[in-house]
Amino acid sequence: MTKPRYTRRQALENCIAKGLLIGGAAMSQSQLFAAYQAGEAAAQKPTPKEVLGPFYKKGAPNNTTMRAPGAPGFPLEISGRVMNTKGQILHEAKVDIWHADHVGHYDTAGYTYRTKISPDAKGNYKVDTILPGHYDDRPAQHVHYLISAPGHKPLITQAYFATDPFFEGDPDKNFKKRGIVGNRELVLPVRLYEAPGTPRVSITFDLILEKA
Amino acid sequence: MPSDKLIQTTSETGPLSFSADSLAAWCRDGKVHFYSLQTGAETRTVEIPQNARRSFTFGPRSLYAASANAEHVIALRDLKNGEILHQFRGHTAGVGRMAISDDNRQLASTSAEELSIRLWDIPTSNQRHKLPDGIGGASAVAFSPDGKTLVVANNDTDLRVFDTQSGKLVKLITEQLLAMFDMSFSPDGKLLAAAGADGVISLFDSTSWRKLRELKGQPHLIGALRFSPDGKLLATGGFDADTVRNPVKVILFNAATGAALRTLDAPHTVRSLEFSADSALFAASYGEKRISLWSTTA
Repeated sequence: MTKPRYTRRQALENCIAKGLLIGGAAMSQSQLFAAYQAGEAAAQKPTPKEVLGPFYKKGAPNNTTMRAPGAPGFPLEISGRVMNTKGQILHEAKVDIWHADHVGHYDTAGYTYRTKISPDAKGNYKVDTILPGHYDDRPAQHVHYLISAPGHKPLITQAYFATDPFFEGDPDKNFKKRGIVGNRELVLPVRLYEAPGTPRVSITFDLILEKA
Repeated sequence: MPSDKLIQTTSETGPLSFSADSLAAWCRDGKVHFYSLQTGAETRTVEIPQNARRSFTFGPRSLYAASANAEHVIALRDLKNGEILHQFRGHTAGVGRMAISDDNRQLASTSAEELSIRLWDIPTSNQRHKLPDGIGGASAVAFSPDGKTLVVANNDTDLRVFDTQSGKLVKLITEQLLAMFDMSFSPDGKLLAAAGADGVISLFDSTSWRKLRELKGQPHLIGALRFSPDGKLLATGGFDADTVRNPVKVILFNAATGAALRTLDAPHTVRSLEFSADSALFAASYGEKRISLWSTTA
């Protein structure tokens, strides 16, 4: 796994320094940077919506580690940013995340694989969990989200996995199969890490809310 | 009255409704089939057109049925002959759960995308109120027997109680942690039974809207729930959380004591559970080409 050499900020600063990004009017470097970033952020599309489903449970604990030590299942890290369509960070957002266990069972008695977290000051969130299992009624692996933030419409959505056998290796072609997934954008690429001892996978899922 | 029996059907069964002498079942072939309670034989069918099968609910005693089409128009049909008596226009997105009041004068319809509930006056076909719903889509809708109250359960786990005359939200019940999948008023209107993903029947006082007690004993989640017309019994149908294909239990409770009177087997998640008007029989459908008909007194 190779990490990007530059952050978005560093890349933009390099572009400005090398004359690859030039202001239309007389602008200082910081004005140019801010204006470009604002314009880029303004183009953010809201995250597509999905159904809530019947197994949402109120009162989940604030817990970024949903995976118990030694729990069966393929370790999964989910991370992303929580922002609005203007690119403003929503650090006051509450993010409910829940999914089935490795055999496709939802815990309705307790809160296994259920959490309610807030992003950090930079709008980032990260949870440590497992890849959800498959179940007959909705046979694509998925993670449920309910996000609320003051002044914004609640967002109900789901993340799917491009590696899921359900998509037969071709999510572009097969994402509409059986009418389960509403939007191709929600089928996310999966990264495999060879962590010491155990391989694990990760997905990045940005949550972009619309103003109320 | 017959004892326990299976009614064989020609198509997979969904919602059920009793009338005085027959049991009606909406089936996957898009028809409402009527079966004699005496013999179990099919007596007649009423076709619901292909494009009007997206959402379906029976009115009381299977006199009428409402169904929504792909253009989100709801039609109320006379089940004597399938004739459309009223059409209700206004929804701009998919119609979900619906209910018809006991006097057949009010229709409630929901839409998850619109985050709203519409209340219609059946005789005039007019929309009386557009009411705010929760964010997860309605999971159950019930009118009180006198038609003055409408309760809507949402997948976000909240219950909303509305005055049907004023359209005002009378009570927002937020104490449930999990969604309620079905609701049923006692025939005197004093109690609302609600049950769902927690597998417990919650009984609410319909004046204070406080939870009075819980009836436990259903080993599964509860997908279907009914009070008997005499108010003495409550039946629950299991809902399997992992797959609709696993067998579940149907349990008949004494509504006053909570004692389980009969425990029966259904091959899959129960889709619909109804009592006959004399409370002597109850029937369950579970998506198979048959309906289980049980005696309440065996």
